[in-house]
Amino acid sequence: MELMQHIEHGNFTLADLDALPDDGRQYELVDGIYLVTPSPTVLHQMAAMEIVYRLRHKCPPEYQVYFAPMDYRPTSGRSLQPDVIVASCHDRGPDALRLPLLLAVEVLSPATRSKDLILKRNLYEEAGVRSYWIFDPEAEALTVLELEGGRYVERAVVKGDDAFDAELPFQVRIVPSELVRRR
Amino acid sequence: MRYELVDGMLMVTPIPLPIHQTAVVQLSVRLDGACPEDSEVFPGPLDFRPTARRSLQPDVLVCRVKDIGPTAIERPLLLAVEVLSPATRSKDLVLKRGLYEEAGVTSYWMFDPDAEVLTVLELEGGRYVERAVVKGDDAFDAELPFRVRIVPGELVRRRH
Repeated sequence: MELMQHIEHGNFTLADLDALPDDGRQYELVDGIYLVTPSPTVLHQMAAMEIVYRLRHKCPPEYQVYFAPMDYRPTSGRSLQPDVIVASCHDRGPDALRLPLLLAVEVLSPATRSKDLILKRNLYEEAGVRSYWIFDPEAEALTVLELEGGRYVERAVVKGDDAFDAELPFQVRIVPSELVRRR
Repeated sequence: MRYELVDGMLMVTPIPLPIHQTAVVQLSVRLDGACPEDSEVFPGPLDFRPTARRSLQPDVLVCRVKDIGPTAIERPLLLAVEVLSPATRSKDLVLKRGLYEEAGVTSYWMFDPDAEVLTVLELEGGRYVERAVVKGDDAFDAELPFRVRIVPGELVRRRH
């Protein structure tokens, strides 16, 4: 009987991640390091919910909208949890999404700002996630990034009551201020 | 394990590989041998806390003696060094580059022990510019944080 847990030098793995207790925190894996994020704020969840609502309303049948927590595992060493996901229905695996997402959305919070703006931008770009939306609920600003030749370009920055009419992943209108109206 | 805090997010990094630690020691020794009196060289783990919600642990750091606090260093470092490993590559190349830049760390060196490549970034107008990329047996003669010669290949070879 093996009581002592084997600790591999240099890498946490997806198996390690799956063995972690569900304690309400968000655990992500990036090439062997854990990113541990506390439970989100009310404002964060409110905005994420409003985005999901709008996307679902316009989502064509071949696509699916997911609300976190949902694992996106683009490589065998990475497990990321965007706040909102749009993926093709065909890409759904038994446990996690693995093929490039059509859209990943992150709602910024003080705890995740650097992670979302710097690290995840790079990770989603590498993974080939076609669109990456970053919503700042305090500033009521939506930043829209889209892949072009393998790199993200800033397609739009929309603030307050201005409307953003997305073409990707499908036609949908987003008005930043409406996402946090009840705050 | 190494625990780092970024604005409320915890980053947990597993125990490093031997080659990583060899490079950390070799870099520390070379820097220490050239370090002037007003500066200090520390191999990690030592906390660099540029804000109340950030705690970062460079593999090697150089700071001013007067900036050394009782438990951590809060003032901008003169130099932060990260030795890359498969586990920390994205963290070091992407996230920490952004965090050290924001914190005003004058020089940021990234050393890839497998490729024997040292990448030297230095602040210019608040942004990092790539000052040098040095490989294998080529020598890098640093001016910052002080004059010191680094030969990447020597950092991962055992001393005779």
